[in-house]
This record gives sequence, C-alpha cells and structure tokens, in this order.
Amino acid sequence: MEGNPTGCVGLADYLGWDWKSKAGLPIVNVPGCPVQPDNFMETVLYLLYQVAGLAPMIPLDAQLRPTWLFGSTVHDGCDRAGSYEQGDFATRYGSPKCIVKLGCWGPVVNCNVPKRGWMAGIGGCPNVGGICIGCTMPGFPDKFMPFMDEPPGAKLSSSAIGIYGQAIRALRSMTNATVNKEPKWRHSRAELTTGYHSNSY
Amino acid sequence: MATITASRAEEDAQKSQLVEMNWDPITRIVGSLGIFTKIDFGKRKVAECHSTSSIFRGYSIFMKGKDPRDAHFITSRICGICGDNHATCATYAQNMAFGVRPPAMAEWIVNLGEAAEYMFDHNIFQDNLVGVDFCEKMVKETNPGVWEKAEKTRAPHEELHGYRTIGDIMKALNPFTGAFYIEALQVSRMTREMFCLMEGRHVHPSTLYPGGVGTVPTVQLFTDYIVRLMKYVEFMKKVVPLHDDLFDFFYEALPGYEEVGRRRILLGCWGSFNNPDVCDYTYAKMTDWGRGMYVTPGVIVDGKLVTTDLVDINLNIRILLGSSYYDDWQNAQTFVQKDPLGNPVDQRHPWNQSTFPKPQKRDFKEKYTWVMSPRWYDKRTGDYLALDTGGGPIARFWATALAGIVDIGYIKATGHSVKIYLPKTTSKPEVEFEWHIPKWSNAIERDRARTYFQAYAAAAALYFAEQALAELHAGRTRTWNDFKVPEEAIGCGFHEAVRGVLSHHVVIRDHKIANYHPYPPTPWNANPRDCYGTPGPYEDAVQNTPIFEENGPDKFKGIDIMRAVRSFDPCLPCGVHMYLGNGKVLETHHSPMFGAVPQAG
Repeated sequence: MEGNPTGCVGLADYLGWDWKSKAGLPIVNVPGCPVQPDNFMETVLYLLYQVAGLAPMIPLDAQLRPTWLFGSTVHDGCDRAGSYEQGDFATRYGSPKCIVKLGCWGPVVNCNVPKRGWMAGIGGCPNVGGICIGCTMPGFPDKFMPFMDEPPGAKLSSSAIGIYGQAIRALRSMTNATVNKEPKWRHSRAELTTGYHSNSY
Repeated sequence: MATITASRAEEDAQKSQLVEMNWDPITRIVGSLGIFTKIDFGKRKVAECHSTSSIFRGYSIFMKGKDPRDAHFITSRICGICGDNHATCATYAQNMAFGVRPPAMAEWIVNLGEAAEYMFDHNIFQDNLVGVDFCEKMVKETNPGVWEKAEKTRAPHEELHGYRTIGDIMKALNPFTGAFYIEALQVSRMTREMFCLMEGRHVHPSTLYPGGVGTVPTVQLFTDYIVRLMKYVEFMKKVVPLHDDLFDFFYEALPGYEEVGRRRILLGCWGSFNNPDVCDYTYAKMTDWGRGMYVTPGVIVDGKLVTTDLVDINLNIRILLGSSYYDDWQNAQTFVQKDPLGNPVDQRHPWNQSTFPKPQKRDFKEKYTWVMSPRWYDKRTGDYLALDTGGGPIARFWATALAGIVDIGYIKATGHSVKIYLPKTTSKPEVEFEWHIPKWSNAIERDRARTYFQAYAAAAALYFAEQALAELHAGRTRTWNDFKVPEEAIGCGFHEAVRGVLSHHVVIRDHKIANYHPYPPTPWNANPRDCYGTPGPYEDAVQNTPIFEENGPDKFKGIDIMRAVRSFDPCLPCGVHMYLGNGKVLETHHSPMFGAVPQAG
C-alpha cells in the first residue's frame, strides 16, 4: 500500500512466480482480505489430496489462484446482477439494487463470495449491500481507491446497458404483470375448468 | 512456552531464588507479545515484569493522504480479530468529521452487529482459550492438590448447568474433547453468522459506511438473527452459573488467589452502542450522546467514577513515550490547537501525535517495545494514570453500574450493580443475573465479568432487535444518509473493541487525511514503563503476582502469570505494529492444542 514503510510483498513476488517446493507444489494464492474461510480450508485439503497422490496438480490461473474458486467474477455470482442487466442502479447504500454506481468493482473482480456467501451461505459483499473493493485482486488496495467512487470503467458500461436494460425491464414488467394475474379457470363455480391443454405439448 | 534463560542473580537475589523466565511469544493470542519476568521462587512471587512487542505496522503513517471515506475500510485491516470494531469506530469518527447522522435503522443494525461480535469473541476467548488455563489437564499438571479438591467439590449450580462437581466442569473444558469446549465452539460459529447477517462479512465488514449501512433491512433479516440470538440466550443461562462456580472455587481452593493479576482499580471504558435518539455525532453534544450509549463510558479510579463525559475522556488522553522505539513529537506539528468547544488540545493528544519510528535493539533498561504508553491525565491530582481495560467487560460493567443510567428492560444499571434479564427460551425459564462490583480488579474478576458481559450483549441485542423491527414496521427502512467530505475537519470516534477501549482520531485537510491515530485496548494494557517510570498494566498486574503453581523452576509452566495476562484478553496486533527478531523457540505447552495431542518428544 502507498505510504507503507515496511515494503512487504506477496510470496510469489518474493520467491518468483515459477517457484516450486521440494514436493513439487507451486505457490498457491488464495486471495481475499480476509480470505473466505471455506476457500482456504478447501484449498489446503485439495493440496493434501494432491500430496497423497489422490488428485492431479491443483488447477491455477495466471495469478496462481485456484480456478474453481476464482474463475468467475463477483458479478457472475451476484444476485443483484439481474438489476444491472435491466439498467436499474442503486443511488444510495441500503437499496437492494445493483450498487455498481456506488463503488462496486464486482463486474471485473474474480471472486466467488457472493455465490458462496461469507459463511454457511450467509453474508457476502454486493449481494448483501457491500461494495466490492477488489480484495482478491493484484494491486489491492491502491488500485481500487477511493473505494466509494464509481469505478472508471463502470461509468461507460452502466450507461451503455441503460438503454437496452430499460427496454428489457419494460417488456419484462408487462409479462410479469400478466403471469401474476389470477387465471379465469380458478373460480368458485361447481364446474371444473383447467388451464391445461394437452395439445400444447 | 517457557525458557529458563539463566538464573542470573541480581541485587537482593542472593537470599531469594531469582530466576528469569520468559514467555515469547505468549501463545493462544497472535504471537507478537512477549512477557519477560523474573520470578522469585524463594518468595514465590513475580519480582519484575516487562511487556514487549516486536511488531511495528505504521497505520498512522500510511493513512496520511488517503481519502477520508476510505478510513474504515483500511483501519478494519488493523486486526484480524476485532477489525469490525475498528471499522465501526472509524465510521463514528467519519460521521463526526463529515457532519452526517445515519438513520436510526442503521444504528440498530450496527449495534446488532457489534453485539454479535461481543457474543462471539468473548465466548470463544473465554471458553476455548482462557478455559484451557482452568481445564482438568492444566490444573492436574500445575496444581494436583487443587484437582483433587475439585473432584470432590459439588458445583453449587449443578441444576442450571448440569455438571455435578467442579472437576466435571474442568473436564468439560479440556480442549477438543471436553463437552463444554466443543459446545462453545459451535455456539461461536452461530454468533459469527449473526454478525454476517448484519454487516456482510467478519472480520472486515462489507456493508458498513460513513452515513449508515448498505444492509437491506427486511423481516427475514431480523428473523434469521433473532432465531440464533434466542439459542445464545438459552446457552447463557448455563454459561454464567458455570463460570461463577468455577471461579468461586478458585478463591476457595487457593486462599489468596485474589492477588493473581491484581492491580489498582484504574479502569477505562469508552462506551458502546450508540442510541440513535440522541446521538447526532456532533462534538458539541458528545457529552450528552455519550451518556446515552447502552454501555456507559467512564473512568474509574480506586472504585470511584471520575467521569462519564466523553469530552473529558477525550481531552485527557495522553500518549507518552519512555520505553518505546520512537522519537518524540513534542516539537513537531500541532494539528489541532482547540477542540470544537474551544478547549485546548494537548500536544500529546492523539489528534496531535506524529509517529517517528526508531527501530533499535531491545534493552529493558532503555527502550524495549513498539507499544507507546497511553495514559489518562487526572486533572484532580496531576497524575498520568495507566488505565487498563481489564479485557473490556469488567470496565464496561463497572462504569455502567456506577453511572446507573442504562435501563432498557433487559438491562438495568442500579448504581452498584448491573441486572440482566433474559426471557424464557425453548427449554429454560426466564432468569435474572446480577453483576456486582467486585472487591478487586484481578484475573478472576476480569474473567468473570467476561462471562456476564456475554449475557449483557445478548440482552442488549434483544432490545436492539425489537427497536429495529419497530422501525421496519413503521416503514422507516432507510439505512444511509448522504454527505460531502469537507475541506477541513476533525473527528473522533469512541467505542469498545471486544477487549476494551477503542478510539479513532482523524484530522482532514484538503479533503484528505492529514493525521489519523487509532488507539485500541491492547496499547492501553500492554504498554511499557512511561517517561515517568510508571509501568504498564500488564507489567504491574504481573509484578507481585504470587505463585500458586506447585511446580518448581524445572517444570514451571507459569500458569498464574498466564492467567493474569490472559485475563486482559491480549491481542497485540491491534496495537502495534515489523517483526524484527527471531521469536524464541520454546516448548509448545501453552497452545490451544494443550493436552489434545501427544506431545512430541
């Protein structure tokens, strides 16, 4: 971090990104500040399987992160991504809509936390109203500060999705209103009616 | 983790048997704290103690020039245990500096989050870490006589907690195998879930901001919290009497045990849980809204409540040097001449502190630690008091009890005690606990207060959950208010980290952080001798601690010293900050694994 007098760096920056242990294990980065606990224990467990000869070489991306954990973005696993797609953005913290305009880096950050939750499926970041500050990414935190401003790239993409998203939202809202109507074939008359048409299958 | 470095005789040591024993690091806490003692086996007491930390981190240095809105995100990273306490305290200071008052709903959500944090951390520390010092395996090894007695002593509250003898309680505390140890671990996990419901993640909350929170308040959110809270309330009905039985037994089995970890009653509590009805975060009204907190701030000297005024508490904080690896800032820049009420602000106050690290070799006659010496200036006497936090709960209770302000149905401060009322739960009727002001500020009473405070936090959470639901039912679901970062401002936040007082002081210039100083509890507790020669609280609490352990120097485990130090709930990474030396390699006796695995030969 800028201004840090200690000059501390990550293990791969220090030992080299191609470094391997005597047992042939590479450096594995399980990033996060802090690390999602299940991500960490699961990686340790995988390596134990590998050392025991029961699993192949741990699959890692270019940043030495396990691919099954960091292959997707925050946005991919976020239950607010639907509101992004419809161009429906939050303007204040505490709104259940997409918070990309409030500083969330989720669309471009590799992390599974919104999908996995913080523990036992509970909590997380943008899925529960907390902007993604990129804590699993190289260059955190400096690259992502100040945290509470809209990420520079998001300005363009969120405006671009605005037109498409609003059209989609309007169409979906019509269909949604239709499928929310109580059907005519449900009534209190003696006659039995149904919405099932066998010939439609 | 003990090494006998040498039996270096010093001064009057000829007639007594002075042995130097060091614990570095003290384990079961993050390992940067070292306690260096000289033990007099002739007189069976600790003759001298130095508390030292080998870590420097420099938060106050790299906070400079940052966007002030980022303060809580960054300072949360001070600690991997109480990061959320820092984040919370930072938002309090930001709110003051930015002039923003969050909606009531946000305060209830933050209070529910912090209550869950107290419930979590006190629980895991008490029963999975401190408890090991009192477990069967430890007591058998250090005091076989006490173990024999424990096996024969009936537990007075058996009907409440289910353990027949004190020995049964001690067995239940054995790490990884004891029934109560395991149950406490599982309960802790549940309280973490409660925290994550309110603030997204532990230990660095994702949904906390200056101006409020990003958490979406829904019926489901509070249901999920309350369901877990009621289980914890039920658990407390067993936990409090269990610890009372265990701790009372120690006084009885080891007459004089009240002297272990005992020091003068000098306690500080900075208050916790803001009340949104009165808390507007203005400095001008801080005295009033400070007294509105659901844990009352206060300074207690020799059993008397000296103040409950946060302005008074704030202005009299002094950061002294003496034995710390820093150059002085007495002639450096003064950031704040006067507070917003016109009171002069001392050059040694955190608002005016500058940090000039000066790494050097450890020398117990000169400089020996990265921790500075925070003191509280008592204007009545002109003393710079080495206040301690007692690990948090004892100071919170003492201040709250004497102030007699808190009265929320589930909790009532009486002026001499604190009553905690817990409602009926699944299998247990309602109960009322009462914490009484103890005779001493010592190891046992710090530990006892921790247990009671778990119940306090649960009771407070019941109240906060009701208030939050009332807001929700009234349709007031807004959780955040907008603000602008001023060009120039100052702010301070006062809070209780799990293990005691926490303050954040910020100075903003040109919309950026010009100065920032967090003061967590451990610097208050683990600090060294100051420029006036006054030892820090660990040092004077351990010094003169009598030794009750039955082992001699060869098999000495230092259990009484460890109980004294651990009663303060040490957490050094909170306070200090560059690992310089090679930690001493010692036998691994004092670890959370104690007794659970066969010791390697």
